[in-house]
Amino acid sequence: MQNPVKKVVIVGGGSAGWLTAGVLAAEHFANDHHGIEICLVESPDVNIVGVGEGTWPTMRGTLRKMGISESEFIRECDASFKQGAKFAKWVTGEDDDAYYHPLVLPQGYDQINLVSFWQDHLSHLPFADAVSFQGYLCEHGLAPKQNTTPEYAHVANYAYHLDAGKFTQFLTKHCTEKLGVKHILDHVTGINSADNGDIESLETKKSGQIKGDLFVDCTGFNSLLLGKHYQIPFVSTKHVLFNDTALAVHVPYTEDNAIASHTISTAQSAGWIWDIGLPSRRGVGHVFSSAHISEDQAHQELLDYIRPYLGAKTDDLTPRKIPIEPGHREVFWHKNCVAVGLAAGFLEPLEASALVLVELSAAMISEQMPATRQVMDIVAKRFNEKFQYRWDRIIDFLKLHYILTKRTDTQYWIDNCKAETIPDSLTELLQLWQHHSPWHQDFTQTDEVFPSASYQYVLYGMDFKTDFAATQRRSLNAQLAQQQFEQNKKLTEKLIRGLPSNRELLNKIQEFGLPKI
Amino acid sequence: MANHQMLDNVTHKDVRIITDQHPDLGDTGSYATTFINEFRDVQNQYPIFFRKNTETAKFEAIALFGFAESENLYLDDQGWHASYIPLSVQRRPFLIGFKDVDNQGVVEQEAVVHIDMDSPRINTERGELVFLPQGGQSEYLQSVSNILGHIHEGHQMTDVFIDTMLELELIESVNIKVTLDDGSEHELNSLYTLHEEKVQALDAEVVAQLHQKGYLQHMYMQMASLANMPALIRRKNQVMGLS
Repeated sequence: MQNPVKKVVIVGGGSAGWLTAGVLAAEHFANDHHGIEICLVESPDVNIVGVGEGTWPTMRGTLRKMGISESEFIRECDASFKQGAKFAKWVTGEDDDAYYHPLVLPQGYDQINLVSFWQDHLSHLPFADAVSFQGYLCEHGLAPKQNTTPEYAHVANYAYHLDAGKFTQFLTKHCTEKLGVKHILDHVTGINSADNGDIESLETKKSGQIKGDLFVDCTGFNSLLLGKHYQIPFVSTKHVLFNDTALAVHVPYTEDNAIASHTISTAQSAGWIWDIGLPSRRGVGHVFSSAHISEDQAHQELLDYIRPYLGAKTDDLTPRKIPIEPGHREVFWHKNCVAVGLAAGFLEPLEASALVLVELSAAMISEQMPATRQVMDIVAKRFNEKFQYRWDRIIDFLKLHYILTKRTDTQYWIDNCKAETIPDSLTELLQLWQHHSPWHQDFTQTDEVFPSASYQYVLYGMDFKTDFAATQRRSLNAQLAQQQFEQNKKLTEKLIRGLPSNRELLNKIQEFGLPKI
Repeated sequence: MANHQMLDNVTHKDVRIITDQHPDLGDTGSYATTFINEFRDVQNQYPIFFRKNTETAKFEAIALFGFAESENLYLDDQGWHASYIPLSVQRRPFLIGFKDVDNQGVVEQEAVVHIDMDSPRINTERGELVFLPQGGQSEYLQSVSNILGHIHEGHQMTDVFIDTMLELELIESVNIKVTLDDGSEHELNSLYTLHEEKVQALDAEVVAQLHQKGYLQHMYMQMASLANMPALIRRKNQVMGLS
């Protein structure tokens, strides 16, 4: 007996729910009677968390796939350009301590690994500046493209900063009006099971039973279907990544209204502060470990960060508290239910991994959409393997930011470097990288969340030393390396001359929009 | 920054305009904006392309005069060597400005003549008088107003025309590589043209609509205007003393 998958029910109306709905609807023709029916159930009683404000460059592809105009998206979601992240005070904690993790690959990355040449000849320059132009663009407050650059095309690779609340509204409108997603505003009161343990239907307050072939759990921390109904255990990673609380606040611009085109992440005594510039305001928040400092102290550190910009007005701010439970579900797809977004798990927003995981989940569900219930278990197994790998890699990569620190000024930094808090997989990688630097063979999956280039930027941004003595391959390409460094220098000068400021470009987009071609 | 002033017969009563064509009088840019209401005259002399306005990123139509930033191959010490000069060049040093007028409580923008006082064409000794001794408009100024009127109208018509072309996805970018007689290569990017095969593949119904709007002739004029490219390259070879 064949049971074709014809209807997908998504539960939850945050960015995870609507992004998944949008991708599935666009690729499976939800607005056509031959397509798959996509229905999103959103409780009017539940508030969305809505602090995910940073994306990866993948978001450009995701939005485009959904048929969204980039100009409209930027205007309606109060969005800005993000060219990477600047990590301040993560290494020594001093005022001059900062490095960039840009979004462009190191110059000539497909041909040559520049790390050893940089160590030998150019280490007076920060690694990111020696091999890429993007840190300079960020320091100059420049945009990653010109106003004549078509929508979604780039001069310098970029992602977005956005207002998560506005983004959800924008997606709701696009998905329901253009893509044929059925939107049901109702409270889910119960879950009806089939004999095989599948979810047969949802029980709702006003709309009765909602049946479906596949259910996507996008109910946030609540994890209504996968967590509450199926009791899939939660795997905590708090012993690796200590931060468990966030205090978030909106900061208005003052006379200096330049919009940073990168996320600024500044390490504190027991956590770090994010600083994200949107056109209309900045979003600032302190993520910290409650085992290491009190909420009051964390609050003070947050205000101390803002005070130099805002002065006396700082004390009028009332941060919103968001508890964080770092970790993820043991599996993500169980029976005919798959969790996407916070319902699957959450890690601190250090490298904006939340939305990219939503996009990757939606992309895989869409591409591997099981044709029938019979093959769904196979897809589920593959999905679980793939996402287990991805969560593990993200955890490794986030932890990397902590263990390369030289800070010993608080117990938090000391504890972070203790061997028992570091995953074995990461310990192994660091052993390897004492003798070679990460490159193409170090990570082999397609769609790695963090490519080897990201590891390079963090490792060498944080003064990690690789001893290449044993592997002499490097001397072969000295001339090519020199060319790449020269090329990067030229590109840097050219782009600094040719690109508008981030604010300037965003104003132009407000007024004229970006061309389609 | 250019010095644009609203034209009036008090401030500018003695102003005269040199109307000769000479590189010292400006106009050495490698292209000028053009409008569909003059395509017929322009396509006979110059290649017409589309390009994105650097300020607004919106597409506009241009007549191409040269291959480098300030290279107008039609202009030299002997004058402008073409039987027609695009309106946006003819208008100089005048331009259209807008002023707010109160129309029964509603602020509206009204087009008025402005003058670029930094233009080398402006002096008080020679050339055409702008105002008559009593303050009335000279015949010359009337002809300029006429040109500005055509430009104003042509601008709006061309915007709609280009929007239609973009909607039909008929505009594509072209990379123009010119090889001169000495073998040197010059490249022009950021130019766009109508895609001939796509135009030919349009549905009969769409073609009929384009014809009704009068667009079909403008489309073919743009595409045919590219036949002026070899002549432009010849001029370049001549200027460089290569032929």
